[in-house]
Amino acid sequence: MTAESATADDMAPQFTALDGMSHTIPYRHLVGMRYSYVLLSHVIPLVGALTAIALIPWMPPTVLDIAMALALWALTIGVGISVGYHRLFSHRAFRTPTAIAVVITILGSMAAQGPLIIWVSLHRRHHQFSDAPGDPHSPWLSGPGLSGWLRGFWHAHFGWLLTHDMPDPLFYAPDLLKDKTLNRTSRLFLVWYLLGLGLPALIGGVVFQSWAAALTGFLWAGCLRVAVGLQLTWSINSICHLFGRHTHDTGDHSMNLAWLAIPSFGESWHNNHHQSPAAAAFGRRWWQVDLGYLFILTLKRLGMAQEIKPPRSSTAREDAST
Amino acid sequence: MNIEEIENFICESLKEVIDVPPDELARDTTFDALGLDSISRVGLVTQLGNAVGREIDPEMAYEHGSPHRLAVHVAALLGGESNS
Repeated sequence: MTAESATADDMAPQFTALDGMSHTIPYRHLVGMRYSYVLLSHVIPLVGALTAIALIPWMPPTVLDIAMALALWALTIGVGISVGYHRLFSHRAFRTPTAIAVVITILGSMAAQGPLIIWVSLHRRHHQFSDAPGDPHSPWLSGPGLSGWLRGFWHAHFGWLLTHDMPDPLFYAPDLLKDKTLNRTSRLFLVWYLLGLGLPALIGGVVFQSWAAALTGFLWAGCLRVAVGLQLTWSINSICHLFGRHTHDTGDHSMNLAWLAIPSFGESWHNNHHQSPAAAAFGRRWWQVDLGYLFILTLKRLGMAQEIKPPRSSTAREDAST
Repeated sequence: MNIEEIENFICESLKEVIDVPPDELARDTTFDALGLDSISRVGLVTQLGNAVGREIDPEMAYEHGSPHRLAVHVAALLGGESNS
């Protein structure tokens, strides 16, 4: 390993299984908080999304609703979650000015996946144990046979939200707790999330001067966009540890899954990511489309992204042997 | 553990999120001022509970919102146990 890549790895806040199993909060201490979260961020958007579909014969979505849903998808799932919550904050894959970091945190909050500091704590612990006991959302720890597989899928996809022990942010995300600006932005999660539901309603209502347009804006670009986005990200946790190609020997079950690459902004090159968690790019070959990384390169061109970390040097060797 | 030892443990637990060495942190600095979110407070109380061998109600990190006040409360809990 070159001195250069060693430095890059040192800067990433990573934990190993040697750090131990503790540093979690028993889930029973947070039952009220997590049921409130699931109700607000999962149940309400799901009900809204089903309502949107049921209302199609009477109130079909406008072109503006579809455009807003797609734009908010790119901004929240792509920029907010993949580029921001995941690469910038969980892995410190690049650096960006505080103002950009705050905007990205707000966009990530609009994806309804919880406050930044909690998401980052969970994700760093996921990499610490990856598919071994201690991983908050592995599909491989629910017993043998078909029933274990099915229960594992459900756990990794959604069930873990209600049952896992919570990684202690004091241990897993002290860098973010200490950053007063990001800390405050993270704690306003609910405000940003509700803003993401309300803005499309406001825009639709104002543009068409009608309450009906405000409603479809809310239902399609707010609720349905959130509900599908949650399914997408939880699929990285479930499907991308069960199906796909395991190119790199990462010691876990992370997979590369091509058909999810575009909607996930590159997240589904998940085996590549586990091979080199601190790297900003998730694609390794020219055909492995990674829209999130394209966004980071765009930020770089604009002078707003520095110290973009490359994949671990062993990648080249492993790629050559496959 | 006495009050001072509990205070030291709390400040040591916070060492990654404060700007000064743990032994220099004023014991009456509030958890609010340190920017502790609710889950971090529960985490702190969980760690403290593990250290003293007794589960502590997470609400206590709100009701007794500084290293000193939390330490006084926990020391009283422990004292009450050893007396009974």
